[in-house]
Amino acid sequence: MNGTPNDGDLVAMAQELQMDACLHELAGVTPNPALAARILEAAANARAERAPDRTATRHWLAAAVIVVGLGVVGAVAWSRSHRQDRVVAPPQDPRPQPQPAPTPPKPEQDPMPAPKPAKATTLIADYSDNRVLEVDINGRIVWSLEDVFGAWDAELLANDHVLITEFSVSRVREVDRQGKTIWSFEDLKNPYDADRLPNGNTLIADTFGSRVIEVDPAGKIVWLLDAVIDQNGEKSGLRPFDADRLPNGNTLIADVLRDRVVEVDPKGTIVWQALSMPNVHDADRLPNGNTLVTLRNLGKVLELDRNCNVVWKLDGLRSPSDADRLPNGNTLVAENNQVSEYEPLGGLIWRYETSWAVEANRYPR
Amino acid sequence: MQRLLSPSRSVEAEPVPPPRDTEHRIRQHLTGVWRYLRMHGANPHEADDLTQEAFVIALQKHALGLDAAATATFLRRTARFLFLRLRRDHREAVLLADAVDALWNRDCAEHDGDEMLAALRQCVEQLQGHARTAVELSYGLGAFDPTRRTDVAAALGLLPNGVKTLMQRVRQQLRGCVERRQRATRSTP
Repeated sequence: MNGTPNDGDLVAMAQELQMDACLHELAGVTPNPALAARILEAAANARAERAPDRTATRHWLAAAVIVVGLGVVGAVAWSRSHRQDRVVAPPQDPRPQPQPAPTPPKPEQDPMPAPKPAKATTLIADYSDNRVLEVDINGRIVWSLEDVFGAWDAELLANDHVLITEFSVSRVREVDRQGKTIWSFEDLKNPYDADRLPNGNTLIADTFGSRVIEVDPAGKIVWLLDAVIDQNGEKSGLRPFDADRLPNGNTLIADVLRDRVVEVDPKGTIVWQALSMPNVHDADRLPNGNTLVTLRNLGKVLELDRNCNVVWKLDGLRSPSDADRLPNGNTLVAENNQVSEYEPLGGLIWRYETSWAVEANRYPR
Repeated sequence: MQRLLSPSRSVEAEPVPPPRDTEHRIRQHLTGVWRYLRMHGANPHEADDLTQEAFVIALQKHALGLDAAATATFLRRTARFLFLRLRRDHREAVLLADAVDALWNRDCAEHDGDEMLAALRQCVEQLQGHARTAVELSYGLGAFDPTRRTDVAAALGLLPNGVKTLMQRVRQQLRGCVERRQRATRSTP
């Protein structure tokens, strides 16, 4: 290839891309109808926050570290700040950082929250950097895997392998710590989420395949849901951004097609739902029976009770796409250029900068 | 499990008071930028996100206040930068992006691709037989839902690889048709 548009291969590939995009558009694949509103909202948020350019920030920070290293503070302080990499505040620090005002009431907590683990790591899927990384509580990278194409989900398995969902290449794979693929499933269309189930099967939100499937280790689809059934017996399709198998055998799904969270039984019948959940990216059932939902475009994480009352919320977030309630009662949020841990009253107590974090999971080590 | 039949409380969006001309300019250029990204190979979700990011940058740099052509150029350059950053600026991706840009400038620059899409719609309607069925099933055109290649193959009595080859041929055929139509349109006084 000589790199010019006249090169046969390149032109042919470009023509294929152009024709493919046009045919999809003729078939109705068009911009999200809410995109213009999203842009205006994002621009307003950007004006409000006016965060400096990240690259410039990194350069400035690097310069600052050098100055510090040259003697503005002592060598010990320099050593500590340098070792903590990009972490803003360790979780041991109870002082809340300035954040959007917490919204009462206080969330319902488990009666006996587990103590904060002495050691924990956070597994992060960084979509923009095409990598999965695991950082310790001090922000040190303890493991990473590059060339994960469109990393949208990463889950640590019991055997210490990692289950990775690659949106851009439509693949879910289990890798060992050397990055070797142990298992994979590729009959997918831009999936967002995958979980290994206790029975050894894998539950996959095949997002643009418009289905949720359960695949056995041999790669056979043993359960498929491409429509849900409401109380009137009417079926409707879905675009699942997240799917979790619940202990009762039902499945909880964040369905962005109809801006809802649904719990369905194995036959696909809706047994619980929360409507008016615009651009819902994640939904988790909590031990207390409530449901934690992540609304990306609104920048909110809500905890809903069984009657869909909002009993707790975080807002003012930066395009969150995943939120988990931790055993210590805090909430871990993947919000684009950072992964954050918030305590129940909304104070930020831990933060790790990323390029575009879309999923984060905390594991005791 | 409690069955919930009534809708939950709605979650209101934060009120954003945009200047009306800003909203107009966003809508004026939005489809063009999104389509440009799709032609570079961005999937629909990536195209949504990168379009949003490109517009936010344009707003911050006051590029929406330029004349329409300059704004469009700024947005496309920004979108290209963001897309290639997503692809980690691999050399092959940059070379392919150059080729896509050349095609865009040739086929789509004037009307953000609207003219090409209109021509393509007419060309698809002229397709017949297996070619038409394969396109309709594969892309979900007309009354069809998008269908997997294996199912298209089953419907047409072909092997999956046969469908792949057929689709490559049909896309070439459509491209030829579109180019002829665009040439004819441009030569019409």
